[in-house]
This record gives sequence, C-alpha cells and structure tokens, in this order.
Amino acid sequence: MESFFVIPFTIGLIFLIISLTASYIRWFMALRIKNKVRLKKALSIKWLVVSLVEVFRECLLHIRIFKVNKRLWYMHMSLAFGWFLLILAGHIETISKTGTFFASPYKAIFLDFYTRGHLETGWSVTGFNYIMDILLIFVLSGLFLAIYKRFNAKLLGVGKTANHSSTDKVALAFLWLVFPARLIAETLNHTFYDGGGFFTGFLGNLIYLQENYNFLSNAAWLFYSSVLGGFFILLPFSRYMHIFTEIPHIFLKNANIEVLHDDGITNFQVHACSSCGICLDTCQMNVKTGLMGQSLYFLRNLRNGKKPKENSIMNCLMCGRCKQVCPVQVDTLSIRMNERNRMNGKMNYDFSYLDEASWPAFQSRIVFFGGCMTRLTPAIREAMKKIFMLTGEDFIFIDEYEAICCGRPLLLSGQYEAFREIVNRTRRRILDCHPALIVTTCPICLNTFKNDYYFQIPVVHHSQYLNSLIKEGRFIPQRNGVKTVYHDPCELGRDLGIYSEPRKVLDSLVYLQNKDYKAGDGLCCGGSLADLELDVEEKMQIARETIEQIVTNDTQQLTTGCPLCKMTFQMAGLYPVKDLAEIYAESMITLPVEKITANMKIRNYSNMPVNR
Amino acid sequence: MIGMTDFGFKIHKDQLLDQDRPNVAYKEMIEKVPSLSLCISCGSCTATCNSSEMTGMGFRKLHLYLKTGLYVNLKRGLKYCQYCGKCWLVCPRGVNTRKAIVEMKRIFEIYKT
Repeated sequence: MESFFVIPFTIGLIFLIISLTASYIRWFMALRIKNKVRLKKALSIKWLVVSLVEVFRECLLHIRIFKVNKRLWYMHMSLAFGWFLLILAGHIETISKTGTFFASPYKAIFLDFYTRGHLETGWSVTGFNYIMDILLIFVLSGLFLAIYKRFNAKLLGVGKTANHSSTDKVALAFLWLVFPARLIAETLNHTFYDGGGFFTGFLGNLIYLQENYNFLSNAAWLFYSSVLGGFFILLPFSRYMHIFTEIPHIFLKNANIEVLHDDGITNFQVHACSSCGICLDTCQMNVKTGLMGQSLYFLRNLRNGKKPKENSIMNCLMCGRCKQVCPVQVDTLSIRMNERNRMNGKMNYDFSYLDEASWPAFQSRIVFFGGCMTRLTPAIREAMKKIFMLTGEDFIFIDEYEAICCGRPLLLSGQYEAFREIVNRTRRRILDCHPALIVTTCPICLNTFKNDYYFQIPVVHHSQYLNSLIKEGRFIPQRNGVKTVYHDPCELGRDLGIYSEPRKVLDSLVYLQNKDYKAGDGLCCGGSLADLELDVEEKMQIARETIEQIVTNDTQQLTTGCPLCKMTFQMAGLYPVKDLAEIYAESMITLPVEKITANMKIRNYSNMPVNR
Repeated sequence: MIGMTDFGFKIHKDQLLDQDRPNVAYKEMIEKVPSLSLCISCGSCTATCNSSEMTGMGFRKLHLYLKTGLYVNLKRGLKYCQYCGKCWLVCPRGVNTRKAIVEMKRIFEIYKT
C-alpha cells in the first residue's frame, strides 16, 4: 500500500468537517428567536439566488476588495478563486478519468499519484494537464504577492498591516506551503513517471534522478498531504475560519438578521472576519494603538475566546469607517455595542428628577432641539433662533432651560437601560408640544431620533431645513467668496446619508471647495462621545490629522454641521470653524427686512423626510 | 479674628479635606483614571451639567464625595448622570470625567439587580 500518505489529509478533512458542523450548529442554536423567525420568513428562491450570487462574488471573486485596491484584490482573488478552480478542475478531471461522479476527495486531489504510469494520450488528458498547470501558476502568483506583502506592504497599496497572532502565523505558514508542496509533488511525480502539463511536466523533465530515488516522489506526496491536513486542523482555530464561515454569514446577512444583542450571529460574524487589515488601514486610532482597540484586534480577541479588555472595548470612536470598508461586511459597531452592553448594560440610574422639571410645553409648529452639544456652542443656538424668527416660524427651543439629553452618549457607553429611560422622557417632552416638524442642529441627536424614537413626524437636520427654505424661495442667499471646506460629520454622513443638503446650502452662501464627495468616506473629528480612553492631546492629534486631510492650500475657513465637530476643530485651532447655521444667519442680516417678511406664511412640512 | 463663618459660610465637618485619611476607593480611581488627579475643583463641569440644573449634583461634587469618602451621597449623585459629556469638553484640566463616572459606577457596584 503506497497510498497510506493520504492519511494526514483525510484526518484533517474529517476533523475540519466535524468541527465546522459542530460550531455552526452551536451558533445557530444561540440565535435569538426573533432572528430565527426572520430567517424563516426570508427563506425564498430570491433570497437563495441573491445569496448564492453574493457568495460567488465575495467569497471567490472578492469584488468589494477590487473596489478598494486592485493589487490587493489580485492577491486575495488569485488565492481564493484559483484554489477553488484548482479543486473544481481536479474533480472534473477525476470524473472524466474514473467515470464515476462521486470520487473520494483524496482521489481527486492526489490524482496524479493514482494515474502514475497510465500513459494515456488524447486531447482531454493534455487539456486537463494544461488547465491544472495554468491554475497552479495563477495561485502561485498570488502567493508570491502575499509573501512580498510581508516585506513591502506599500507596493500593494496597504499603509498599515495587521500584526497577526502566533496561531494565525502558523496557519499562514501551512497555507503558504500548500501550493509549493503541490508543485514539488507534481514535478517529482513527472520526473519519475512521465506526463504532466507544460509547466510541471517541463520542470519534471529538467530534473534528472536515477530510478532508485523514486522514494522522493512518495515523500513529496506525503509532505503535500501533511501540509493540507495540518492546515485543515489549524483552520478552525485561526483566522482562516473565514473561508467557510463567510458563506453562512452571507445567507444570514441577506435575511436581515440584526447583530445587536445576539450572540449567535455575533459568532458567525466574528469568525467571518478574515483579519485582512483593510479596516486597519482606514482606522484613525493611530494615536493609541497599545490597547488593541481597533476592530481587527478587537474581533480577533473575541474569536480566540479571549475576552477583550475593558479599555480596548471602550477605545473606539465608533465612526464606522471600518464597517464601511469591510469587504465581508462585518457589523463591527454592533458587535462592539454588544460587548459594551454586557459591561455597562445594567448600571443604575435615576432620572426621576426630570419629572419635576418645569419645561415650557406649549403647542408649537416646530420643535427645535439643540441637544447638549449645542448648549456649549451658543453661536449656533443664536443663529438658529435668528433664522426661525426672521422666517416667521412658530417655534419652541425645547432644551434652552433644564436641558435633557437625547440619550446617545448613554447608548454608546453601553448603558442600555438608562438609555431607554431617557428616550421615553425626551420623547414625551417633545411630543407634549404637538409639533409638525422637529429640527435639530446636532447629528448625534438626529441619529438617535431617527433610529430609536419612532416619531411619526418629520425630524430634520438644520441643513435640510435651511435647504428647504432656499428651495421654496423664502430666503434669497447672499453669496460671499470665503473659501470654505465642509467637513462631513460621521453621524450625519455615514450613518444618515445626508451629504448633499449641507453642500447645497453652503454652495449658495460661500465658495465651497469640496462640492464633490464620496459617500461613507468622511473622517472623524476625533471628539466622538463613544470613546472613553483618549486624552485631550490625543483627540487633538486626530482632529489635526483630519483637518490636514480635508483642507486645500488656500482654505480660509472650515464648516461643519455638528456642534461637537465644531468644538473639537476649534480646540485643535488651525482654522476658524463655523457651523453652517452661523454662515446662514450672517448672510441673512444683510437682506432688507421687507424682503424677509414679504412671504411669511404657514408652511406645510409634509414633504420633509420622515423616519427611515 | 474674622473667619469665613462670620460671612455666613458653614463648615461641614464631614466634607473637610483630610489627606491623612486612608481612601482606598480614591486610590483605585486614580489608578484607573490618572487624569482625575489633575482636578482643581473649579466647577466648570457643574456649570454645564444637565442634571446639576435640577439636582444640584455635578462632577465637582462627585469628585469631592469620592475624596472625602461620602459614598452614600456619591452613589446618589452618580445615578443622575445623563452622560452627555459636556463636563469633559469644558474641563480646563483635561480630566476624563466620563471614564471616571463609569469607573465609579463600577467600583460602587450600583448595578441593577
């Protein structure tokens, strides 16, 4: 029996199949009932087809990486798609040679061993040999890039590469050995026994060894088998778990399953993460890397069963840039929120004092909610008041005195119960005024209002409101030539997709330098309320880096739509910063009063965007 | 001799600062949030605080209660926090107040059961 060498491979494969099945069943059982119902309702032909297409596009062709970086894409795609094609072509070759459809896996993979000496000729044999050799070269080219990336990542367009754990490094070594091992095995096979395609056959003919050295060929096959088996055994414990977990992940993702508060789906997503490092490249947390709070390391610690440290869970701006670029679409923010909830979810609170507050609750058409951050930037507050007054709106500034928070800082810190409590109170306070429209100057509040308050009335950012004034011709803007750069706040841009309205408003007021934008590409100002670990100086460093990236050489002022971003940029102190409401109100003063008061009328807000 | 008490101020015996008094909780807090030691009790945090407007509690008081060991008051005050982070933004000394509040909540175990 010469074929005992398949034993390592077979053991590895059996272990892999058992391990994967056990994990998937365990995680599936841990799904919340709500998510199981969602999955049940999603079962349809359309869902199946859409998911299968996505599996092909993402697991094999890696289209999303292609959009980020083409050289990096070639490396990933050649390894994944090339290996897949190698397996597929091998099986087809086996079927054509043996005539049976269900051949044992090792028969297909070590086919050249089993067809030793059977010197068949014909177009199909030659064709298969050629195809297999082309595919092997294809995979080896990707492998070459992967090895080269370790030495010079810049050439592949990657700034920062991940620092992998020791298990991952061992698994990586096994993976890298698989294809050279196959090349050696095939080459030696063709040295002693003829055959082979243009590449392995040619290499085999180059080497001349005496007949009694043919044990080398058997040793090479054993080596190949052991490398494969070793890789399969390491796979469930390393980042290469993503190879198979991405498939159920895509199916679950397309069934609209929520990650928040669900351990089962969290496990699927955490293991679907490939630690590719694309998120690391976009992460702005360069200033504090020691805590390993970046999504890649955070997810890796979760995957390895090591509980992430408290300060690494909290060391994140929650800007969502990693989620935006993730080629696997792992919901990094929700997974982090799960951990934060587990840490702080049950903390005590007492907001009964808000019942005794004597806020003015008279009926108004517009409720203006400034939010906590606007209380610290009175210029925005006064500008908004001026705009409301000069347009003759019936408005109430609801948190001018005895302010109340929207709750998002509590949510971001993981204190979920306290968050629900404050949401109820703030919601009641706003609805007591029976408004037709809610305007807020703070994207943080807007994000919470849209996602957690379930208002039946339109809630808009002030940029949307100001834009509607311009569109209706209620306000004729006076344009000046100040060269301005607009900064997209994370919560406004990435979370809510409001990019065009602030730009339209600013374009009619000032000389806007960045009219074009790429959705989801905005940088965080560094002042995010989600982070608990950064010092002032570190936040300022992030702010300065952000300013450096968005300005041009003749920029005169910065604008933004978020009071927190405004404050952070002001503290960084490179450029004068203004909210767009301030610029708007300034240009309003220059208008004659008659023009402003000419068309004061009761407006209909029904065309404003309602909740999503 | 004219003392401050002559101008209507009161002396709270339990709020007197006594550096010799052992305070394990404060030590632990300083270890976790080193910037807390920078606090000069200026009161900027309390001036901007949402809940101090209605309850009279602010970060300055919480810090004082922690230092003097008035943990009952501290626990009561911690519950009122809306966590908006204005105290962090206005602090002239750069004290990480939000982290300090979360850590205090954790140390004094005021979790809901």
